[in-house]
Amino acid sequence: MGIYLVIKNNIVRATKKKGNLILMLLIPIVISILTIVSLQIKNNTVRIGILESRTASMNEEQIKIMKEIFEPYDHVEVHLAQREYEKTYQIMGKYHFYIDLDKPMQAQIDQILREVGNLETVGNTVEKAIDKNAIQETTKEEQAMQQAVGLLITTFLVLATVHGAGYINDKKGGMVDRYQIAGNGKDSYYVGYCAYTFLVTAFQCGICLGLMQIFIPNFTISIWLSLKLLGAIALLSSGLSMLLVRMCKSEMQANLLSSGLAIVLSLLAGTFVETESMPQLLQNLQVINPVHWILQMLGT
Amino acid sequence: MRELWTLTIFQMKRRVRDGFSIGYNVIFPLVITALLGLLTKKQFTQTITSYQYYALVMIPFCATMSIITAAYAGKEDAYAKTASRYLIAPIHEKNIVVAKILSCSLIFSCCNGVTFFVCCALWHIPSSENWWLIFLLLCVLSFVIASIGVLIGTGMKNFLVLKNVINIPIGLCAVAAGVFYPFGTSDRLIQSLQNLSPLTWINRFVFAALYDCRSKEIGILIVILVMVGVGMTALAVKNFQKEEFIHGDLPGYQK
Amino acid sequence: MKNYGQTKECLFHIQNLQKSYDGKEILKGLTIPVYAGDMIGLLGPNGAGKSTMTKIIGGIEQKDAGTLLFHGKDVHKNPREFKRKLGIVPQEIALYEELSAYENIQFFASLYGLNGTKREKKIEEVLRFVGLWERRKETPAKYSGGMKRRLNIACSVVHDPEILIMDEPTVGIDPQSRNHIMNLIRSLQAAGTTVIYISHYIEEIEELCNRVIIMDHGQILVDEEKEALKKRYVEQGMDHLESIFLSITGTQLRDEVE
Repeated sequence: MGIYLVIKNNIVRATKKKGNLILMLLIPIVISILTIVSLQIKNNTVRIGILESRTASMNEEQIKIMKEIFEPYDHVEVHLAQREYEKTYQIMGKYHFYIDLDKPMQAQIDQILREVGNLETVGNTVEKAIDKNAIQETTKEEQAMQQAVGLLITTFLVLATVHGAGYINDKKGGMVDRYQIAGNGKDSYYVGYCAYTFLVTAFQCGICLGLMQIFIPNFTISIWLSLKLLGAIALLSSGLSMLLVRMCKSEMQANLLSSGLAIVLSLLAGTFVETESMPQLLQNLQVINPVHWILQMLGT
Repeated sequence: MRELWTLTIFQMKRRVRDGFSIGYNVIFPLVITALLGLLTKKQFTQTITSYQYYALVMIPFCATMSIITAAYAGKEDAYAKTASRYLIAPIHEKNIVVAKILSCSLIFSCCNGVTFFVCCALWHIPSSENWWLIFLLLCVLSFVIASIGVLIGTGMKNFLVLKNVINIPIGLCAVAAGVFYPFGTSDRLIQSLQNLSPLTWINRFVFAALYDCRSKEIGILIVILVMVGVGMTALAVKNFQKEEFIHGDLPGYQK
Repeated sequence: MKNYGQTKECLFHIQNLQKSYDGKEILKGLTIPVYAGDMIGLLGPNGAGKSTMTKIIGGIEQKDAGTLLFHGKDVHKNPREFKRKLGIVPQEIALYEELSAYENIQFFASLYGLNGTKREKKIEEVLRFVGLWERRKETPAKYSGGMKRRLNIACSVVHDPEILIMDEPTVGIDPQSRNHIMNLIRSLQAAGTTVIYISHYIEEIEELCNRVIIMDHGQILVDEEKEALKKRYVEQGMDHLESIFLSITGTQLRDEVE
């Protein structure tokens, strides 16, 4: 009974402030939009930058020739690049390759073509490349879906702590003592708070998953899987957050720790980086990473 | 001047004592850089290693996240119930705000500087006379972040709400700036959106300074950030609200 | 018992102080002359305006109208000068829990311009005065309620204020600690500090103060020497300050926030 009262009381408290109510609805929507946008823009285009010749006056013609060479490849784009920021743009992923008009071009073109699809000639091998791309496309869609869910988990790990950290204030303010004096068990206030955090996180997560299913074209999962995902994300987020809340002395401590932990767990689970490209030791450690277990649910 | 100095020293000691400045500006970026560097070792070209990339993008990101620490610094006297003593004491209110901004700026700058030079040593970031320019950029960034954070803590209502949601725009800016993975695109719209993130410009100019030997842009960015920082400081001083400083909207407080 | 209030120099004068919140008048032209050496007991039900008056004097809130004169000069013209001579002991324990007692006083003393050896001397003096010198290195988190209250007072008197406002300094502490604090207050007053003592414990005011001010609804109802006030009411069968207070302010419950 005490636990139920704690849950009910916290829901009433949360709805008292209009700001809180709006945030509870707004945050999942923002997260969903972010996920949708990041999925849409994640493409597999290979971008080639043309570095203009410092001396020649035939730059425009050269650039036109380059564009014609790479036109048959759907996933290759050719743009004019600024020589002054050559390395910067390569580091930041704006361009994957450069063609320097001051250097022998054929060698550069051949090298790029090899890198792009291991092609030696245009023709039959182009079809193979296109098929290979199609296969890669499907795998990358799955990866993108996993990354979207991974992003969700990271965010909810942090958000759940925001909800749960109210327990620290209640403890300091004497509310937990009052609850105990009224004849309730010592830890049932804490359990009630855990349950409340779980419910709120599940609610927000449900909205996110719903929006993602509506607006992301290839994000289709069964209702049963959706429910499992929802439950798993809410359970993990609320469980970890309330563990941190129990250990920390202040709200700020709990919030900052949860941000750090969320990022580390998500990184190790393969949210931002493909699991296959991780060192073997870290791949083995996935076994104990709960975020990884949830992402695996998607794969099955 | 003496009271500003007294307040600043006191606030600096508190920043060091509470540990979050050091945790979030030194330990966290080093750990995340090492982790991300290890995870993405195979994905980076010869131009830059994964460790170098993440070291250079993580430090400004973590510096920006310190906005929350600065906001709490602005609110900590309300939590400790000592805020009224500041207002009763014969000190200018502007000195309270400026001291908080200065103390946060100095501590954050030191932490970011230490992190930067440790990363340079550990992961062999290309040696360049621009190292000092980047350090100066980090100091100025710390100043801007401190002034915005203290403005939130001392001059804005709904501190409790703001501190919870401020992570979202910072996270968005970080994603756009390629903090978690190099985020390149040819789409003009998305490029424009990326350019809205201040972290994009910081990362771009840091890479340009170290790898393309271009220092002019960092210089311009430093000047712009100094102006923003001074503006935010003036706003924080002007917007200082006694009621918010004493109580804020801490639970249980009623006007 | 010392003859308080012999010197009639008007140290501090609150003139026609007015303050409203959301159209509701909290202070309605309050006028209080405070003479050097006075020990004034300020009484009033909840919502009388005592805390608002204190906040205005301390510069935490702005007044709507009225003047505050200190040694005949408008406080508004040189607020910092006035604040150096003013001490306020807040009702809440206003201390940094993680700093030691010594460090707490050290910091607050610095705010009043004390530094160097002069400051260190004053800190020792004030810690011995409140009886916390032996435990100066401990934090308030380890202190009892009475000790926290004493440290709270120490932080407010380290700069030797000429006028001290104490807002319910003995709330929630045991009788021994209360007795000790009251002795401290007597010592302060004997040393020349003018004290305005705000409390709901009428027996404290009866014991400590020479002058009583009763406030209600933002107005002064009584401002008189304690003995003269008691003499006036003794004919009506009221010889205790509490019964006088209740007869003036009424017995209805007051549930307003101050």
